[in-house]
Amino acid sequence: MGMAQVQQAESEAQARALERLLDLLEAINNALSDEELLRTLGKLVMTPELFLVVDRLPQLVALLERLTRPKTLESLEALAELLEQVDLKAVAKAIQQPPPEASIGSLVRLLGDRRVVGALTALLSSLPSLQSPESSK
Amino acid sequence: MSGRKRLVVVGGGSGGLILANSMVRHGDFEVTLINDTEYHYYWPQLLQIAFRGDDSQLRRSIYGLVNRHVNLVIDRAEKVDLANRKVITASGKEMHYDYVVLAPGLTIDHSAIKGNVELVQQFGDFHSTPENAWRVYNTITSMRKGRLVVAVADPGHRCPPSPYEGVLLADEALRLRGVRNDITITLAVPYPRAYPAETFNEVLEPVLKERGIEIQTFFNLDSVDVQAKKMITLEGNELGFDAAIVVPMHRGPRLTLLPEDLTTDDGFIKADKLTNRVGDYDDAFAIGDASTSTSARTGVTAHLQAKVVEKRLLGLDAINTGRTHCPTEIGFGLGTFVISDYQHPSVKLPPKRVFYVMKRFFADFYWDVLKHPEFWDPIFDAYFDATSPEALWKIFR
Repeated sequence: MGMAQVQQAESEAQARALERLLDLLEAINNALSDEELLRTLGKLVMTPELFLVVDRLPQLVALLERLTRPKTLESLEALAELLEQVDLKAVAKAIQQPPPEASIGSLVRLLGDRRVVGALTALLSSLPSLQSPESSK
Repeated sequence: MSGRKRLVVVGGGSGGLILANSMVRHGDFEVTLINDTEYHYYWPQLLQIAFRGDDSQLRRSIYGLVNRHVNLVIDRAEKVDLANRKVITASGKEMHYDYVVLAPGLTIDHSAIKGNVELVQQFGDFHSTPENAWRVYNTITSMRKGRLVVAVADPGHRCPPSPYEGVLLADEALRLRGVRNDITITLAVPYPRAYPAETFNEVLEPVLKERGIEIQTFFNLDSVDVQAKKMITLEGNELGFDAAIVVPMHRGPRLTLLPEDLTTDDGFIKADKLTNRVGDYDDAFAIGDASTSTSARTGVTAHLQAKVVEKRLLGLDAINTGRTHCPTEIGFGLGTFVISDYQHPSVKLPPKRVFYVMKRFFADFYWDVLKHPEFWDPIFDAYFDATSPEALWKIFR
């Protein structure tokens, strides 16, 4: 392909891209000029729930910040992995059965179970990372 | 000879335009689009003119909607000779093709109902022309009392929900003018219930009743007596009115198709409902309002058929699912959709504000969809997949 052909192909591609951009802008302009659409969108969006969310936005942002800290995410991931290992059918069966007679001995045996120890360790290790910024200072 | 296959598309409505703009991107087709006017019309806007006086989205120059590599011919296709693979236009041009896709739309025949020509002159309608839609607007904005009748004469009319949108938008307009209490609105239909599809009737009839719209079923309109202001049915029953709009009879396109036995008595082109193929001709397809293959005479159906024909022209084995997806406006910022396919009846989709927003949004982006199908195809594929009748029936029972 010669230089002239390359230049022609490039200018055609640029013309196509420009045309596409102008058409998209026209479509967006259509939507933004559609008073009926904007009025209905306004009614759809402006609900009491939206004002509640706006009012609580600072707290929600702080909560999101805490929840997305790497350490919290790691702990949540560990917790999720543990939950994946849980035999849900066995749990459901255990819930349906009448509770066993409570005794200090059975509680000690339960706390000695390797899986219970693992779950408690993961849970306890995740607690410090859930502290608020103020309390961790 | 360039070696490229010659594709002639007759008609630049939504189906024809989308097909031409899609096919021209496949380099091995030389695409010619024949349209009889320099404009493309967005027909649902007739309702907006009739009841809101808004014609902003009515039409665009077709030159701005066609890919510049499509050979656009402004002329009326007069005859299509399938055996000799040629299209003859009103100006005498002969175009030979390897493939032809017929998408010329339909024609409106007011005279099929006696007295309707006079009635349209007086009160207009919202299925034929912008001028007639403006007549409806004048009727709606000047009426103070009496009975307004909307009567469906042709069950196969364009846009199945349009008569219902008509009475509901009339109700909205009259309420906003503060004269609704003095005007009775009657919807007269030939069906056993308000809406022909039983499942969607469960959505629509309660809305009509809530808005105080009278429904006359089994109404087979025969003639209109404009002087005496009454409609007369085939059975001889009469319905009086002060203003009336008839959803008129529809006919096939003004086009001679050879062989002649490939059109119905009403002039519609006989085409296979799965493949859109015309008769036994592997190189001829008919899509949209003009064809008997359509499951509903709407732009969305023509669009979906165009995509099926595109794939078939490329050698793929695509078929129509009979999917309908008709946005339905019911006034006061609410809307719903008539969604069905060959396997599933219309979904009972309740009226929501968000559906009305979607309808307006589609209308605003309509022109871009016509011109850039390659951009919108994956979006619509995902959208239609997510809103399939099968999936929606599991939610809206």
